[in-house]
Order: sequence, then structure tokens, then C-alpha cells
Amino acid sequence: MSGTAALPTRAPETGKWAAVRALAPWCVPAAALAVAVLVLRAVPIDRVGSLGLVDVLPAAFYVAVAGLTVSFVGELLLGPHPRPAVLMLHLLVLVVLLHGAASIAEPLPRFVPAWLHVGFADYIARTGGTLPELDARFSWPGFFALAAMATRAAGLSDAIPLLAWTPVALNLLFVAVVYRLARAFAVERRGAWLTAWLFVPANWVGQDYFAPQGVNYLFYLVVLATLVVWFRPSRLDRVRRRAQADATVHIVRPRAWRRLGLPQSPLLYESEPAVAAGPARAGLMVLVLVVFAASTASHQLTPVAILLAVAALVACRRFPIGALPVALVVIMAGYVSYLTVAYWSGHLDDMFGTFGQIGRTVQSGVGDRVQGDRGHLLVLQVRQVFAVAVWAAAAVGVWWRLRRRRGDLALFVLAGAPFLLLFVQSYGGEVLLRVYTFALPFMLVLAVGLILPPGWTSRPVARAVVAGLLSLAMTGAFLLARYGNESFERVRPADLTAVEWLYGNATPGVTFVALTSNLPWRFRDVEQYRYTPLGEDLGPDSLPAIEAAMRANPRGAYLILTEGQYALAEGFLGKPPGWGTDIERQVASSGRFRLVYDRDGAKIFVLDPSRR
Amino acid sequence: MSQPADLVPEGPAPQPAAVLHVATPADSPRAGGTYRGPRDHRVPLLLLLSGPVVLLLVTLDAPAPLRAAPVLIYLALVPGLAAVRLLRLAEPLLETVLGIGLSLALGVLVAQVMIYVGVWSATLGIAVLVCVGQAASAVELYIGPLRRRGRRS
Repeated sequence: MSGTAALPTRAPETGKWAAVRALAPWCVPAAALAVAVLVLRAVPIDRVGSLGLVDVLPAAFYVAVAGLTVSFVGELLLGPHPRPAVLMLHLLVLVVLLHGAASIAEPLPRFVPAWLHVGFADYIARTGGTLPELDARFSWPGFFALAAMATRAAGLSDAIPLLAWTPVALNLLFVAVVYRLARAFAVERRGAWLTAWLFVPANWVGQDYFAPQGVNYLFYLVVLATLVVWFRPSRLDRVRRRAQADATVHIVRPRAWRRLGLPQSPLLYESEPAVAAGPARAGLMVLVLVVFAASTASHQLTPVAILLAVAALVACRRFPIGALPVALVVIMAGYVSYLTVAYWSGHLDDMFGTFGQIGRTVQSGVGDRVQGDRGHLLVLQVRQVFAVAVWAAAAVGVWWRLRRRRGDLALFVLAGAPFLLLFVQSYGGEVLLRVYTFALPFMLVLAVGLILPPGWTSRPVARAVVAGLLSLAMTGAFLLARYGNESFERVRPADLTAVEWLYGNATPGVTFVALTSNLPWRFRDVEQYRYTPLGEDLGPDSLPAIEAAMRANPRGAYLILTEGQYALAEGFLGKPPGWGTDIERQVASSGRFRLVYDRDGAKIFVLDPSRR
Repeated sequence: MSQPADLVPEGPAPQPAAVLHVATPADSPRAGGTYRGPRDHRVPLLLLLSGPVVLLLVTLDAPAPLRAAPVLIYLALVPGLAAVRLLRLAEPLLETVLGIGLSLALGVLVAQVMIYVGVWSATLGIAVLVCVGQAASAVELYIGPLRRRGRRS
């Protein structure tokens, strides 16, 4: 196993600059963090436009990130002894700057679905039950139950204090596992550090907020890291098995294989597993089963991704316990059969309707999502190019490894297994994003192998320049891909104040009506009020439709109009500029509604009783 | 197409003539394996003592600023870490991350079982998790001296 940092040795540096050079790598991250936090806190967040946070980020932020990148690459590739503590500090600051940028710049935690999850946890904490009829996510309530238990035990009234920094905490954990996975695939230490570093900007998908999928991604990585690090068969096992199978088998190279310049034994230097004693292996298997059970109880898609990856490892003989996928199927089938009846009895088409229809799944994941204003379309294009570039680099990485007989079947299988999800279901058009996320660590290991191949010794400066430029390009793309929708993904204080006014003044049982669902509501008393729209982005979008929705509930209704709703409609749903304020003007001038709240651009109306 | 000239020849992987080799646990033949030497007993002792403290904070209903951080850190780290330490893995980083993953998984399962059994109580849930952490830490503290005695004999 290639575990060495293979650079020519250098004499220890001496002279008056030696101390400065030694201390600089410690100071740069601290300075970058200080500068970035200062400028982020001064960002005019209300001026965020259709390109999101990029519209308002000052040059000093980019300088801070660039300085951090240069310092990291210099320490990693140009120094004689990369210090793990220094590299770790750089990585920590990068995670805070990229995944915590919005939390620093914005006054409230971003992303409306996260606020809804607070409401789900609040319901469980208050009642000790779930509401599977209200929302499908209540059929997999594990994460919300954990949040409810944790917040109440911690003395918090709700989970809102946890929203802002959840992405940072989760990404730090992801990065730790990704580093170890990279090491497991025979990437030498510097390559593993670079893989972990590039994972931070490459993980732009935004599935790390306060949601079941964030914690489940950690479960996914933990399970696969356990299997990859400790359970792969060793080279000796493989040779023995091959000899037992048939000594007369000839390895035939098809013509296409030869044309690609691939050798006869492309897996010759496959990486070796770590050694673990029998009891430890048994304990690790119990850990895998417990974590999988928790995943099954808290998310729909992640256990399927874990199952596919484990089954693929077994199929290609890179995991020796064939009974494990069977056990995982039993756990999953048992849970779905008995504890999600309320969901699947009415949604069988949602679960299995797209099974095998890969064209429809890809269309719902790519084609159907291409809508919105010009800025949003650009953001979508950046996301698509980002994903395709990572996959293309990984494909070249596969070819490179095979050509040098350093192919690793477990690595290839884990990079490819998530694509099988496309055959299973469309997951509301989001499955392509999830495929990208599940495959990402393994894709990056393959891509980084092109820059820092195992046993590299030559051209450290050129490699450092390539790594630095790649990192900067990915960071720039990350800021667009992750925060490009910030005009409607941020939560405006005026919107929240209006919603809190509603909860303070509305009697239980009334309906809250909005033009779009982009509103921080349902974070409390989720079962005590009715909401329109529910489960859809767009609500009633004309005066008669609004009036009908409000009259549908005899106990009364409130119409809430806020800028966040207009931003979603105009930026994402393809409505023309000024659409929201036009409807607001029509409502105000129709004489059918009475204004009961008007503050900072947020307005609340009730039906005028004299016009009933 | 003929094979490229820079293909690695058959046999063991080539090593560069002059390499900077920093010895790490991962470089050893037992990379990432299980650790058989003596272990520091201070960590399981700390984990063992943290359980009653957290339980006390919860049952006495201490103010949120005082107990929020200790309780949340305990829930996210201790029960799983105490259990994973029993496996004596030779990698502190991975051991910690596996411990966090297992802690969250145990939290999910305990909380969900309470819902389905109809005995919802945050205090009961954390008490169960504290029991898991206490039991695992106690076993580690108990087994450590036994192992040392076994090696001496």
C-alpha cells in the first residue's frame, strides 16, 4: 500500500525567514476567517439579486478565500512536511467560509424547508406522536424525533437555534470520513487531504441543512467507510479465490479494451483493507446494522442508496458477507411494510410509478427544473456543468488507474452504484442531485488521482498550481451553485415577523393563504392551522382563486403577502417581474379584503365581512 | 494499441529512490486495524462521569444556556463513542466519527421507539442513552485491567 508522501527530501530551512515561513500557515487561516467574517457581516443582504450571494459579496471575501487556498496548497504540496494540524485548520476555515457564509451574512437561518422541519420536531415534542396523514415525512420521523428529544432535553423551546450552523457541523463530519475513504483507496496522504479539501466546494447540492437527508448522508458515509476500510478481501484472498475458481481461465482482453491502452491485469495494485480482529469485525457489523436501521427510520432514499452500494460491493466480490444485503432488505421491507402504511397506501404511484423509467426520471431532474429568470437559469447551468465536470474527471481517473494497473474495483463500484437510483424512482425530480451527492466522495478520489497519482515525485510546483487553480474554480462555482438562489432561499425578517403576528393573533383552525409556499411558516403549531398552498410551490395566483381559497374555510382565513413569496415566483417559477406587487395592488384595490397588518413590505389581509 | 511505455511492470509497486517517509499508523501493516496495546483509561472515565452530570442537568431542569451545549454534545457523541471504543480501533479520527454516527443513530432509534410505544419523554430518552454510554464506558474500564493482567500472566 502506498502510504508515503513521496516527495524528495529537503534540508530544513534556516535563516531569518524560517520563523516567518513556519508561522505563516497558522496565521493565514485566522486572517482569512477574520476578514471574511467582517465583510460578510457588512454585506447589504437586501440587495441580493438573481445571482444570489455573489451579487453582494465584496472582493475582500474572494481575496480571503484565495489566500486560504494558496496557503493550503503551499503547505500541502510545496513544503517538506505538511503538518496535519495546519491542514486541518485550513479545512475548518474553508468549511466555515463556504458552508457558513449565509449564516454569517444573513440575520435569520436560510431555507424555508428547514423551518418546516422545526415545526415537525415541535409537534413530536408537544404530543409524542406523528402526523403521517399531514406530510409524508412523518412516515419516516426518526430525524424529527431525535431533534424533538434533543431540543427538549437541552431546554430549548424549539430547534431554530440549531438551523444556522447545521451545514457547517455536518460538512466537518463529512470531510473527516471523505479523508479516510480516500486513504482507504490507496491515495497517499497529500492526495487524501486534497480530496477532502475539494469535497468542500464540490458539495454544493445543499442537502446538509437541518433535514433528515443531512444526517443520513453521514450515515451513508459511515456505513461505506466501515465496509471499505475493514471488510474488503485482501489481495491474498482474491488470489486464492481465483485459483480455486478455475486455474485454466484465461483473461481475454476485448478489442475495445486494448484500444483504450488498458493492460491485462488492471487491478494488480488494488488497495488493501485494514486488519481487524474477529470481535471488532463483529462489532463493526452491528454498528452497520444499527446505523442502517436508523437511516431506514429517518429517510426514504438514503437506505436504498446504502443497499445498492452494499449489493454492488457483494456482486463484484469486494465485500465478503453476502448475507448483509439480505439483512438490509429485511430491515427496510419490515419498516416500510409496518410503519409507513399511512403513506404508501395512498402513494404507491409516487413510490414505484417511475420504477425503471430512467428517461422520465432524468427529464424531471433536469428538463423540468430549467425555469425561472436569467440569473436562475445561469445558476442551473453552472450546477450542470459542475456535476458533469466532476463525473468526466472521474471517468478519466478510472481510465488512468486501469492503465497503470491501479484499478480499484470497490472504488469504481461505489462511484457508479448511486446511478442505479435513477432506475428506482425520480424522488420528486431531485434524484439526480442525490446521485451526484452519493457518488461525490468516490468521484473526487478518482479525479484527484489525476493530479496527485500514487507515488508521484515530480513537478510539485506544477501540481500545486493545478490544484490551486482547480480549487479556486470550484470555489467560485460553489458560490454560484449553492447560493445562487439566495434571493428566495433566504428568510427575510419582515416575513418572519408577519408570520409570528399570525400565530399570535389567529385562532386555531383558520386558513393561512399565500401566493407561494416560500414563507417561514409551519415552524410551530403545524397541526392547528390550515395552509394554502400545501405541498406545492405555487398557491392561488389570481384574485378569484385567492378569494375562493379564503372562503373555503368557514372558520376564517388570512391572506399573507410577503416579498419572499414574490422572489420565488419571479426567480424560480417563471412569473414576470412585478407579478407579486401587481397581485398585491389588485388585492388592496378590490375592496373585498381588509388590511390588518402592514410592516416592512409584508401585508396581511382578511376578507372584508361587509362584502361576503 | 500497444501498452504505454510508462506502464508499471509486473511485481510490487515501484517506490521512488528518495522519498520523504513520515511514519503514520496507516503506513503500518495493521493500518486502521484494531489496537491491542494499553489504552488511556482517562477517556472512558470522562465518558462515564459525563453521563450523570448530563442527566442531572436535565432532571433538575437547569436553564437552557447552562445545559444546551453539554446535553447536545453528549447526545451527539458519547453513547456511540463509548460503544465504538470497545472495538479498540487504531484510528482516533475514524473512531470519533463512527462514534458520532452511532450516537445519532441510537438517538434516532430510541426517540422513534418511544413514539411507537407511546411513552414519549425527552428525559426518558436521554436516560436510556446515558445508560448505553455508562454501560459501554464501564465495560471498557473493567476490561482494560483484565487485559493488562492477562498479558502479564
